[in-house]
Amino acid sequence: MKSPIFRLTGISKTFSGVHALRKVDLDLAAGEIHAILGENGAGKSTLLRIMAGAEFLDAGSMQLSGKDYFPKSPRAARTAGVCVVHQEPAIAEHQTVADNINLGCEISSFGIIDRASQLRKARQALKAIGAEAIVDPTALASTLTSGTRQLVEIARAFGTQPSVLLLDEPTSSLGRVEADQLWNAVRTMANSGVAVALVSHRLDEVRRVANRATILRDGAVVKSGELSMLDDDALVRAMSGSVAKELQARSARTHEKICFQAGSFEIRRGEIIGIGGLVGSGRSRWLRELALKSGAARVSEDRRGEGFAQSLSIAENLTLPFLGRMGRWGIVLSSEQARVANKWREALSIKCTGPWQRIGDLSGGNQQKIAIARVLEQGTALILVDEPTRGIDVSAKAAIHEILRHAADDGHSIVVVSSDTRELLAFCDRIAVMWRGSLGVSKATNEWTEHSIVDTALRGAGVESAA
Amino acid sequence: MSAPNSLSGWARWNSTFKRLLGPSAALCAVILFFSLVAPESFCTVQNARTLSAQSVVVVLGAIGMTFVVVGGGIDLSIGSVIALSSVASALVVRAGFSSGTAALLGCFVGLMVGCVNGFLVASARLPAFIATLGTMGIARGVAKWLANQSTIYPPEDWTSSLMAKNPDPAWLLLAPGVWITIVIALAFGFVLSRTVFGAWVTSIGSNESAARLCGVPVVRVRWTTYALCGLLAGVAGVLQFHRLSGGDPTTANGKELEVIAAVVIGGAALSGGFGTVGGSIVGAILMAALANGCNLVDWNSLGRWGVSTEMAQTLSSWFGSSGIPNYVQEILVGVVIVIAALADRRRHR
Repeated sequence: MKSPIFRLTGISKTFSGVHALRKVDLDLAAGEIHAILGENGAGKSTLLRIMAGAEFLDAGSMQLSGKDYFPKSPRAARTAGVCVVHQEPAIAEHQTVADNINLGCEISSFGIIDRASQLRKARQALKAIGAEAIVDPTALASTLTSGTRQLVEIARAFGTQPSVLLLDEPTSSLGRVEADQLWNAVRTMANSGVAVALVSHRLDEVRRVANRATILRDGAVVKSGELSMLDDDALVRAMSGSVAKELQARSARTHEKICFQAGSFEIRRGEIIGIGGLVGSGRSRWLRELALKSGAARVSEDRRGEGFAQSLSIAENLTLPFLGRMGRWGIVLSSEQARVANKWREALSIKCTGPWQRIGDLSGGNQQKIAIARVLEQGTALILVDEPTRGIDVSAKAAIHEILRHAADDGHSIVVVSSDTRELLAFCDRIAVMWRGSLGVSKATNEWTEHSIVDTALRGAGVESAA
Repeated sequence: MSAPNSLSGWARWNSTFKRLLGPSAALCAVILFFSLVAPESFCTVQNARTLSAQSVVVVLGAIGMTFVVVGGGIDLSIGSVIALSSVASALVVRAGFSSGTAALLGCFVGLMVGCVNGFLVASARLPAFIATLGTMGIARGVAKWLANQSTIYPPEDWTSSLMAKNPDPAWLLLAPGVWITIVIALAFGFVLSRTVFGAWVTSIGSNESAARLCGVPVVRVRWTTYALCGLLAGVAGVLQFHRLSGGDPTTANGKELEVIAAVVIGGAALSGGFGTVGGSIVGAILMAALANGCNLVDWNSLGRWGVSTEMAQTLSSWFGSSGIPNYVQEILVGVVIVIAALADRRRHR
């Protein structure tokens, strides 16, 4: 192994008495892609933020290219050669792509921007990461899709010629094609000698791109090494601290009664139907329209934007769609809200301090449980769930699957949109794949394989005949 | 390289041009309308001088406010700062110092209030609306205190030079204060659209966290926008003092809302990230032209455009024989603001 250019020794960090990181050691070598794995709350993001100068460490030291590295701000980190690509792309929508790529390190003389040079540099950076045909540097950033926004961020990082690139869940909102574009760009950077650290929840993705992995649990390193030496089972075990329960495929069952039908789509009572397809293939829109047609309750993929009022409490958010039921004559009884919240807190084992805790303080997994509790409390027969486990750690994922399976056993019909092919195969009764806005025929899960789902999503085999 | 490098410049210019088109067309329409209904008085050199002198205060305020608004903030203290600065200048002149010293001090006072705003909003992270609401009250109160609640008049032999309607030398055509405003407008328009500082202000208003993560010194840049806004309000206060030949602590009351209206009419987004100095100036002149023109309307002159005498008399009986009353002006300005906001909404859809 090459000698490390970025070395972290004994990094510790506490937030109001809680250990976020305990004596973390990490080495990054030039040209390697190093995955940092762990469940939500394991300390991955804190570690990344410390490396990027957005957070200060309490103890420990960092060395970059043999010299002490102690960034006081993201700007200082960037100047030192450490760049970050965030989960939510940091893009100023009102400015052009070229302006965004040069943001923070504009080319100027006497404070006057040299736009021609900026454009040239943007073109070079986009070309270097192989995105010149995908992103137009003169376009306004607001016209970009979320996938191409990530590419702009990578181009921006590339433009500063960093020695270390940090990626925080860069593909969580990308489809497969977009993700591949992104990984090509990242590989190009790694090949040119940049050390890349990657935080991701997707094991298959990590396997495809990364060389080494470090696994964090409760803020401490529990395993580190070459990925080729670690199998999936070992990774999951290290992350969760226990043997992960293998996702159980639902056994075939008889569904007699049709719950809802629209066009060629039908769903029976107690059935879970999975919808696969690429991001941007129209799945979410289809789901939204289905919700309007059927009056079914829907759990949005966008918990922050569409799902919850982040500043309100668990109880307030949970009872928002049926406040009328929480009392009489338009008076909302907080005792009734608390009762409902406590009921679901028990039933779904939601981790919180109480019904009046701010929902924004909860982890993604717990927020998702509350979102599902809300549609269950609403009591519609049909439930639509968009990306139920995106950005959620392994054990919370299993818990969400369990909850949905129980709901189906209780007679609910559930439609699940998911980009996670294995998730679809693991807990749906039937699966249909969306391709360019039209939905294919749904088939029993055992007639699908991971390969055939991805193939249909990419090329639309068998979809057109149905539409 | 497939596309010429100038394309970026063209695309940028083109999009800015499109956003300026609406307000500019509205301004042309207003000027055309008053040229028709008040031909003898509106379209004259003398009135151009009056109009330009009337609009400098709002124009200067709007230039500073554009920076603040594009950066995602707001400054409610402008009106009070204008009053404070004009009172300060008047006091200095009354104490026997030169007009130049007085002008510098007026500008300095504005800069100081701007720096306080910058500290409160950027460093202490108060909401801009609240922080500047506070300094609005403080500045107004201090102005009244300094002036002992009455207008400060300079000595009798003092003559205002900056806002003289018939400037000396005569080839200037417009008052020196108007020329100062034009130079400031060109300089600050350049700063916002062409410099690193301008790009940083825009990026902060567009996506603050993105700007911070890209190494933009957010606190310092935001601080500077408020300081600039205060400085320009100080300049406006000095010109106001010269125009009124007196430092009135109650002057420019509610001017901040007029300034914000000008910025909005000029196409800036109150949510930040977009706005042009040119647009804001067009907005400011549009409102000044509305106020000025309404006062000059002469219904009887409509006869020459084929309007019957009865019609002219009816209009006179509704709106008074000459001029359109204040309340109609207020309604008109309100309508213009709403239309500007609606046009902006449509563009974003």
